[in-house]
Amino acid sequence: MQSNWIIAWRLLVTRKWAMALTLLGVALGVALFIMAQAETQGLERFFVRTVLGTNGAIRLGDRLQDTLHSSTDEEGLLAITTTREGKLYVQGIDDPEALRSAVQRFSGVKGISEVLEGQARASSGIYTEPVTVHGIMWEAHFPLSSLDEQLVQGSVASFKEAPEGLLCGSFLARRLGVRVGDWVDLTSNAESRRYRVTGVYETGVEDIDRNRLYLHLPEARVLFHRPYGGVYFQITIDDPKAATALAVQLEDTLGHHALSWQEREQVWLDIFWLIRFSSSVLVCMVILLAGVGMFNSLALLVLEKQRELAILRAMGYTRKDVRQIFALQGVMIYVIGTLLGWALGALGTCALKYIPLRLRGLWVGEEPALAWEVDHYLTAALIVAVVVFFASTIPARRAARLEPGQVIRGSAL
Amino acid sequence: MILPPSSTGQPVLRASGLSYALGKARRRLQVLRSLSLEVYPGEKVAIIGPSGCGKSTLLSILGLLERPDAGEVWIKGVSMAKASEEERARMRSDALGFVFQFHFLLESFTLLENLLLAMRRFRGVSTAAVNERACALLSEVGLGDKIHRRPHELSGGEQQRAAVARALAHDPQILLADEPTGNLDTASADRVFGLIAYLAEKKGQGVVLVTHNLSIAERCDRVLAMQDGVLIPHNFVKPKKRASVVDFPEPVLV
Ligand SMILES: Nc1ncnc2c1ncn2[C@@H]1O[C@H](COP(=O)(O)OP(=O)(O)OP(=O)(O)O)[C@@H](O)[C@H]1O
Ligand SMILES: [Mg+2]
Repeated sequence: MQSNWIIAWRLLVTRKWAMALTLLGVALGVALFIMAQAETQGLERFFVRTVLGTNGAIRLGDRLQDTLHSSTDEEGLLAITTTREGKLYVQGIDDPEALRSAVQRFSGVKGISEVLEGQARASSGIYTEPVTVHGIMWEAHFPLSSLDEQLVQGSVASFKEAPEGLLCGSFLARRLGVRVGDWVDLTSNAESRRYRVTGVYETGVEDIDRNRLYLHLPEARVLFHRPYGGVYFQITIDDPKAATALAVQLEDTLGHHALSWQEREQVWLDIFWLIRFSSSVLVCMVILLAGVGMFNSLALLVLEKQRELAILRAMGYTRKDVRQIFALQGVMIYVIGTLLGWALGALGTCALKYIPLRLRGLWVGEEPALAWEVDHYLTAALIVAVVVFFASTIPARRAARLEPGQVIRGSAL
Repeated sequence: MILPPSSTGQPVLRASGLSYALGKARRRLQVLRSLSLEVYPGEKVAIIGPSGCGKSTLLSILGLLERPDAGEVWIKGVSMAKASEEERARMRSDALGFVFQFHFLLESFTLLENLLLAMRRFRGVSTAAVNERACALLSEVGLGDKIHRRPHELSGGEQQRAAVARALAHDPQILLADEPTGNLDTASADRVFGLIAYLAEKKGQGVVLVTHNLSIAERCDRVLAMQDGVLIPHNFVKPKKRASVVDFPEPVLV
């Protein structure tokens, strides 16, 4: 057994260049896998963190209309009913206080922020842009969101103090040509009012940075002529993974439409999955190619070493020994290649930090978010293990099948 | 048919009724036809015969590297016909020493390592003792100062001497040598053969030696000629004057 290790190693190093290339291929495959995973999963995690921090885990909104009841609310006012997906809805939440206490009784709910959302046009005098206005209660909203951390200009304090304050996405601020302290006119269907920019935030998700403005809720009510009701709840929860289940529960119990972040961001999540999947496929091709190279070198080695294998057999080494010798070569290439790949992968991931990543419409950061995960390293090792197993088993079996008698005669050429 | 052995007791190697064919269908060649052979301890048997008559094939069957189509091989009185692959391999590493016709040593290893790898049966013995034995043997064949060389750093004669040392390293009872002196000049051939004869005598090994060199064959206890797949005793008609003449041109040298 011990001598098999030595023989395996010696036979391996007789073809230095071929083996060095094989090792390089394996290491490169592992490294690329790790880097691709770090980058794509990093991006996805960043996105999820940002949308959770900005939009919450569950959006609880329109009341499901019970068709057996009249479509007027308690005060006798006709509520606006709409039909969506075959169900009747009453737009928004009409009694936030009652609903808030009901939601708070659900376990896992961390916080609730009332938001009044509406469409408007923002004008800085020169430029006009369509915007989505979010009216928020800062006391409830700031503790739940990452908005304060995302400010690149201005401060939370100045927004809190100014009733006419406005928080503007960085992309939008650039397009409007405004900075902190400038005035912006907001025009809804009902009203046009003037607000002062007290802060500019950047989430990194372009969709949000390009469209969204935050106002104080009372101001938004005035702007949209919605003195009461009409809001939705942005709910943060302890375990974001449980959002879908909780959303179903909320909807069933409270009779309000509840949408989890997974459903809300379905399109993006699918895209991320696709990016990860296709990059994995690509990288697996590299690993597969390394495997083919390895198979090649080992198969050649078997041919080249026929005589020595015959001598070994004559010296009492069994077919099993010979198979083991080549299997051990696979193990050696595997271990060295994987360790080298891990090191290269870690270095490469560090290097990725300095390569700015720009995905139009999705990501605007300078420094890509990278995920460091032991899982990536282990998965890469597992994939390589499978490939190396096949690449070394076949030559090993070929070597074991060798008939030494044939070599003794055949060499008489 | 086989000359009675000079030595007494059980043959260390016995083959009876060996038949073996090579190739398939129309290119099928009956190499061995019910061949029998007995080798006693301390006996040196030379096998001569024209190129392609099947001498190497016979050695690989006697050396348990191939199984005959019919017939049986006994090593130290044990039948190898029904032995498993493992048992045959163990027998090879314990009782059989092999010197190949054209290549002799493991190219990737030094002389010393070549010997050590052949000494699997001494697994229980201390490394120092095994090392010492290997070095002593290499010294005995005159390569004591070259134990750390690779085979390609040696001359042909040196390689063949090393191959003999390797074949004897594990102290086998049987030495199978396939033209150990081929391609060597007379002096070197004599030296290699002298070595085999000396070592075999010392340990009482049975030796089967395939050779084209009649002067060497003559120095063995028995000479058998291979003809049509069987071995027949060979009697030298000519006096010893023509001893070192080869009975047909050496194809390799042409
Ligand atoms: N795979 C094969 N198929 C058919 N015939 C074969 C095959 N391999 C070898 N032979 C033939 O078997 C015969 C015996 O070969 P072997 O090597 O045993 O001869 P040899 O007596 O050792 O010859 P030499 O003196 O040249 O070494 C040869 O005639 C050879 O052509
Ligand atoms: Mg031959």
